[in-house]
Order: sequence, then structure tokens, then C-alpha cells
Amino acid sequence: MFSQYFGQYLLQQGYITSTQLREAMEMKKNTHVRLGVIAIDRGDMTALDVEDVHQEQMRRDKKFGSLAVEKGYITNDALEAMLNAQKQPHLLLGQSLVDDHVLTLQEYTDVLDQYKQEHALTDEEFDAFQRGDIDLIIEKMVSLGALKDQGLAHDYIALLSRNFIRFVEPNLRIENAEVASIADWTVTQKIHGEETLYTALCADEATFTQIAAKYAEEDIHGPTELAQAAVGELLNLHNGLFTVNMSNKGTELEMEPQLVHHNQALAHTGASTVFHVHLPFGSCQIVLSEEPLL
Amino acid sequence: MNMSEAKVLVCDDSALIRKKFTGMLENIGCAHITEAANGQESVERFQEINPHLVFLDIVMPEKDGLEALADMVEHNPKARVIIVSSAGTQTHVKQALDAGAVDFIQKPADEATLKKMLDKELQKASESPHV
Repeated sequence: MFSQYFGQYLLQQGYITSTQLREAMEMKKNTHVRLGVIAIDRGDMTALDVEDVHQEQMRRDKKFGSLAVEKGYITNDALEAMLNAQKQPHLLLGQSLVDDHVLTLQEYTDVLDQYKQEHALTDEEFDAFQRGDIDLIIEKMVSLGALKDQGLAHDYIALLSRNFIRFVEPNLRIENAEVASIADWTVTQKIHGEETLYTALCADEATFTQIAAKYAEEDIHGPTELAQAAVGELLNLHNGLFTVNMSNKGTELEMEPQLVHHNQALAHTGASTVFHVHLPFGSCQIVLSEEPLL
Repeated sequence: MNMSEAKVLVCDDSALIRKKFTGMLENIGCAHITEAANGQESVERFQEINPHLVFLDIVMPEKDGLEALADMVEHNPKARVIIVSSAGTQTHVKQALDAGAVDFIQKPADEATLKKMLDKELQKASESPHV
């Protein structure tokens, strides 16, 4: 996830062009090694074991390695060895930029230092950021706006990042956005109980369709009934996991059925915050509000 | 009773979840699968077909899953209903079991889990004839 933020920074600062960034990210994507693949490669787990952990991740908000240890597939020592073996994504981005002579090694080092200073990151925080510590990334890179319960909003967006990475696309970047204009497609869902939160996922038709196809793992072309059900279910699954996490913290919440809308304007107030989720194939918006969106 | 004879009712407002469930149930040998897209329709289909097993979502329009469960149990106190929900909090599980559900699955369900549950239910159905 750091690569998405850092790559955007390099682009904005004029160090690289959008084409160079795209090519570097593509090269990085092709060389990213998932923990499950490393586990198979090392002979620590079978493909069925890995699939079992992936299935479990769809029900519980836990990291692959923790679940693999919990289920007895690997020991803590094996996990540590696997993590050491996993290439750091930011190194892959840097490596591809240097290999392609877009940046010299020194320029790359300098711009990393500059990035750290501009975002007021300590050495420890920078290490955590590079390792993809989502809580830290959300804390440093995203404003939660005027939402009264900032902790709740932070937990919501951090979990959303993890769920998008798990179920849709690992290469993403979340940042604040202006109030959304009318999107082609919008899914809304109300969460209520001890807290009230109105949630929405908005996207143009092409991005909506791609999100649907990736989440459903189905051949989907266009905003069909299945596409609408898939994106609706993605928001529903995410909100469901959120209510489980909140229940574990002592806050009981309920959900209303999700609704899918076409060309629907949302009622934004001071109590809503909008986030852009940038994906390689397009962007969608997530809206969080303490007041009704419709 | 074998798998191909079992009547299974799948209740979820999401067309994707119904498609996935039906596909998995067919893979494990079910031949009599009925779908319902909201709570009210779930109760109506339940009364029509008297299924051996029901997979019931909680968050649905028209009538939520727990209300539909109450209606099903009232219609047939021996109804075998498994709640399937993305919101698997302890409170939800307890509510579902208190209301008469026989089990609870957190979404997304996988084929192995469905097969295990169906095997268990069909075994019970053989020991105690379906009413």
C-alpha cells in the first residue's frame, strides 16, 4: 500500500511521469509475492491449506499468517521466516524505478527522506508504513473530517482498506475526496444501534462492473443484476465484519438491507466524509455520514 | 434420505449469494433447491414446499430473517433453519438460536461447510421423520 502513496508522491513532485509510474507499478505487481505463495514454495502449507486460510479471512478480520498459525498449519518460527522471505513492495517499486534509470539510487534515497519529513513520520512509523500498517496509513494520510466519533470512522476505513485488499484489489490508495457528484451507481447501507452510520459506495459504470467481477469472481460485463448484487454484497460483507469488530469492542450495531441506486444524488452535510479508493482500473468513493444520505 | 431427495430453501436478498449457494448445493448433490429473495417470500416458499432445510439471511427487505424464522417455526415447530449472515456477532448468534435456528454460519459460506451441515441435517431427518 505504501507504494501507491509513494508512487503518487513521486508523480506529484515531478520525479516521474504517469507512464513511468504505471510501468513501475506494473512491474512491481508482477513481482509481488503473496505470503500464501511463499508458504507453498517453502513447503510449509499445501494449496488446500492456503485456500482454507483465505476462506477464513473472508469471515474474520485477521492476517493470513496469524490465521495459518492459529489453525496449526505453520509455527511462529515458520511465519517469521516467511515474512522475511516476502519482498517488501516499496523495494520492488524502488528497484524497478532504479533499474529503468528513472531515478538514480541516490535520488531514490533522497526522495524517500523527503517523503518521510513532509509526512512527519518517525523512523519507526516509516518502517511501519512501508510494511503496510493500515492503521498508521489511515492515521497519517486520511482526514476523517467532521465525523463525531473519529475512532469509529478510523476503524471503519481501516477495515474497508483491508477488505478491498482481500476481496477486490491489493493495489489501492485511499485519500480524502471532495463531495461526490452523482455517480452512475451507488450502494447505500445504514448501520444503527448504539451508533448510527450511513454508508455508501459510489462508482462510475466501468469501475462498478470491475469491482463486481473481481469480488464475485464471475465473468461480469456491465451493471447487470448480478453486478449490482455483487457490489451490494461487498458493502454488506464489509459492514457485517465491521459490526462484528464493534461488537467485540462492546458496541452493538445492526444493519439495514443494502440498496442499489442508479444516477442517485446523495445528500451531503457537514456530518459526512468522502474518501476516494484509487484502484488500478478506476476509482470509487466511500461516503460515511452521521446523517441520512438519501 | 440422500442429498438428491432433500428439499432446500435458500433465502437471501442478494442474487449473487443465491447463485453461489445454489451452485454449491448442486455441486454436493442437491436437486431440489428453491430460492427466495426477501423475508416475506421466504415464509411463503417455506409454507409451500415444507423444506428439509432452510438457509436464511438475517438482513433482508420486506421482513428480516429473524421475523421470517419466527413465522417458519410457528408454521412448523420442527423447522430446520440455519441462519447465514455477514453480521455474526455473539448477539446475533444468540438471537438466532433463541428464535429456533439450529445453527449459524457467517458469510461467505463455503461448500465444505454446507456439505457438513447438510450431512448432519439429513442424518437427523433419517432418525426423526420430517413433519
